[in-house]
Amino acid sequence: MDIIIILIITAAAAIYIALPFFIKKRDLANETLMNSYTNKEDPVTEKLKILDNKKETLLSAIRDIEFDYGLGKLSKEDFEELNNKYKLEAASVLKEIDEIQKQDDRQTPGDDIESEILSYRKTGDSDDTLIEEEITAFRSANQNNESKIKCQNCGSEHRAGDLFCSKCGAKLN
Amino acid sequence: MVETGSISILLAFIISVYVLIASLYGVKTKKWDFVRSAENGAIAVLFLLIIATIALLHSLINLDFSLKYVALNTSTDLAMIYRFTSLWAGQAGSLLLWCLVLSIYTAIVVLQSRNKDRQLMPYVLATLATVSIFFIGIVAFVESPFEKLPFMPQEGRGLNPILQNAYMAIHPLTLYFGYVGVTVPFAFGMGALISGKLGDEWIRYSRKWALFAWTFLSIGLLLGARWAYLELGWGGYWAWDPVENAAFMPWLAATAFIHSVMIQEKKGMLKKWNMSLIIITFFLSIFGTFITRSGIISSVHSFAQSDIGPLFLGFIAFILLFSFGMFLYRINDLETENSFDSILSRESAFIFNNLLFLGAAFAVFLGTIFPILSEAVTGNKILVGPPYFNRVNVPIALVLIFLMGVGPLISWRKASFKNLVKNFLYPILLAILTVVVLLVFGMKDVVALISFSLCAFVTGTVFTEFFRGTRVRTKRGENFLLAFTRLVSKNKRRYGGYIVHIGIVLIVIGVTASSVFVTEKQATLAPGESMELRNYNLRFDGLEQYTTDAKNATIANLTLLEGGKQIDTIAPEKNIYKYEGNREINQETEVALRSTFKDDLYIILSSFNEDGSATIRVMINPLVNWIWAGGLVLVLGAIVTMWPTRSRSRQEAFIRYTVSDHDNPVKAS
Amino acid sequence: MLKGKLKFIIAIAVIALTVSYLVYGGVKDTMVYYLTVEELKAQVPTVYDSRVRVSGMVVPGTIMKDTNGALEFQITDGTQTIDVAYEGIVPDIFADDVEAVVEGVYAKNDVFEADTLLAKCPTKYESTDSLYENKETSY
Repeated sequence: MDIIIILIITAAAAIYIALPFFIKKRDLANETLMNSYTNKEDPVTEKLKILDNKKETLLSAIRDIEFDYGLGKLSKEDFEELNNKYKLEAASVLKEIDEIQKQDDRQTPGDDIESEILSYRKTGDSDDTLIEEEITAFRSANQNNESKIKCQNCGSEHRAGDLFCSKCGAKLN
Repeated sequence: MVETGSISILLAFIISVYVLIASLYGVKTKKWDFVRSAENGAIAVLFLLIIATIALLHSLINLDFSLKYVALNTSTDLAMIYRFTSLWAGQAGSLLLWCLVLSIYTAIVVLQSRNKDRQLMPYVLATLATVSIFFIGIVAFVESPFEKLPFMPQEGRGLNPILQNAYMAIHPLTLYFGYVGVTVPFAFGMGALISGKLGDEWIRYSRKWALFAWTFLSIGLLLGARWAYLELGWGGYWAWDPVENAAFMPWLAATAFIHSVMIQEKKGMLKKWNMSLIIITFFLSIFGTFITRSGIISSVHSFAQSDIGPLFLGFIAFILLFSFGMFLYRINDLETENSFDSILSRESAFIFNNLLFLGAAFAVFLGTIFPILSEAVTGNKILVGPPYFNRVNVPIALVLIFLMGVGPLISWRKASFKNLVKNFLYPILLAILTVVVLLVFGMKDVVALISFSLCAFVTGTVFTEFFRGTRVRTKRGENFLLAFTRLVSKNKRRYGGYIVHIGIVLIVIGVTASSVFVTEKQATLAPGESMELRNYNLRFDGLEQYTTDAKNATIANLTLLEGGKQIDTIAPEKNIYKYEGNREINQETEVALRSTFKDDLYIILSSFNEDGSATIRVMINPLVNWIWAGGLVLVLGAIVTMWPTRSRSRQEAFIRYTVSDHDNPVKAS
Repeated sequence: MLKGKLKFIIAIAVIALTVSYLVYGGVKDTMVYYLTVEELKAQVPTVYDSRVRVSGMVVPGTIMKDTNGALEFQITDGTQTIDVAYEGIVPDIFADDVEAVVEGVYAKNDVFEADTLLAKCPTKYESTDSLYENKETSY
């Protein structure tokens, strides 16, 4: 009895482990898979990835200070100083990413983000509370006394110092 | 079944070796079918170990005494549930469980990352396989649970009665989930070091796994404390015993790691530090298993003593040499991307938190191995006992609690003095108020005063955080409850972390009260006599006996009175287990516990005499229940933190969009 | 920048030094020698009144309990024997022939006044000796 079970188990394990050697052809056809396998030889993708990580770090830093500012943990001067510093850094990283992508014109994750923004613009203010709404809310709640400006495009209220409308994207002045 | 079990373990060992070789060979030569075959191998190992575990459970439940493990850990009178849990009551079974848990984790890692991060994952898998090889190897060749006895005993030795307790039944399990869980972030760290992919992938994976392991370590520690409290009968829950320290040290290091990893995520700093921390955490987890399993440091409840010590030492040396070797090899790739801006910032609070946790871990480590160390250096065995651990750890813990209050309210990067005053005003007032109130009530213990006021301070800051965030949302028209839940669900990591902090505060309050304000009294009472303790009066009504198949029990019937009114009856027991010639331990003192949120009445029947009198020992431990309540809050917070978030791509897209729009005007100005 | 870094280094150094100091002070003030009965006897004049921990087997038949819970017994390492007096919680496994660990002071009247009593029987725990006692006779 035991012998039979042991044989079955051994055979099953061996077949399962050997399986990838026999069905590899189908996988080779899968291009995105192969891309992910071979990305080491590709310095461009590699560099993009590093830049992308850098960008992520900066963006989450911006989110953090905006949150902290909204909760009154950062003074206005400190917030603006740090905010400008981060945003300039982020801008240069983004520029670098764009340049690399221009030179190397092929499908990159950046395109997804662009289309994401488009779809975001279309849906506009969906019930899915978005981060921007949160930030705006924090800001406005914290600066009730400060002067407000209205967006000429969509009519939403913003801080005096804002450079663009966070609802519709139009420039403010 | 027995043969199936032992062959399965052997097969699992062989396949683990194959997994190691195939994954390394595959990634080196870019023959990806080998990597996928190795991944399948990891899953096959899981199934084989499940079969082995089922085989052992089958033997345990059917009391197959021809197996040494079964004969040593069960007996015919053992309840079914404990036949099941005796799977991890002994050495070999626990090690099999270790392997099983590791293979579960390995399979999860494999399934989560199929076709992702191809440069990193094969090395992660290879690291996990190496650890598996060691542990499965021990189970297969040194400490096999399927080892047969040369004869067939009629009766097994039975499970130690103090292990027959619901908490003990699950405590080792949760602890193993934690111990073994530490292996996974370590494997990601190693994978990153070997592959040179030192970007953010390993940190992202590691953070989640470390948090998971940390949660289980916390649960395991608390359940262990609860077990000791209920079963060991000395009135406490923590004795700085080596076995307890063994679990506490990786917990300390893991706590440091889950904090500092945030800085690497957000700022790209502390890369070397995090890598070292995860190596240290893993080392401490293996070292903890080693202490518990080898019995090298004598402990009250070292349940095992065997010859696997040298093997473990060799493995530990190998881990340390290899991982720090790789670390030095890659040290130039671990350069920091950013620098510190200010000493008054959350980053620096995190750094200090880390140093203190590591300092505490070091102090506990030193205290635990001090007997061995001193014997090697001076030839004399020197011990440091609980006073040492308390003296070192209490100040560190107090500073850590202080930081726990400070951290959330100061900003990343830079905190200005003006903001500090504004943010900390209410929490500090709350802390001062606490001290005043406690002084008025006549509390004189300085440590307790400091501890309670710091707890008030932390509670103040955490509630400020919740309140402010919620208020901001309610101003937008959301009702309070909705605002609160949205706030938490939108920032799970931040607010989940705060909930964990509240859990810690509750635990600290409980620990402080129950260690500083214990009242203890022992008296020999004749029936009808009573003893006074604080505002309680305990009347002894007489002894009573009963007998079951397994034991002869003696009960002392006690009536508890408060202010002349009867409020409860209490019956501590002393059990003599029926001796059948093969048990080591046959006496057990069953503590009677009357537990409320105010205090625990902990009553032990020390001894009873022929004249019907009994020696009763009573302790009043205040606020012990706060510790367990804090544990529940901690778990709740951890769950909130780990709860999966919906895709962030949208939010990222938006920020990217605002920033790129911002780009031009900022430059122009 | 340099000034900022210096501040950090100073802060870190302060923490490191404090922890080391706590560890050092803790070890110095709380350390206890762990001796066998023979070693204890060998250090007799100097060992009086200092805290030590001693381990040995409980000599069968020497355990005496009075009604107040106070306990007296002898422990031995095979060559030497000492008297121990103890008051407090007695572990369940404490019995004749069990290895007992006591911590306390060896008083001038040659009675070890213990305030901590631990008992263990680890060497037997994983052994199969006891199983032989009732193995099947047919074997």
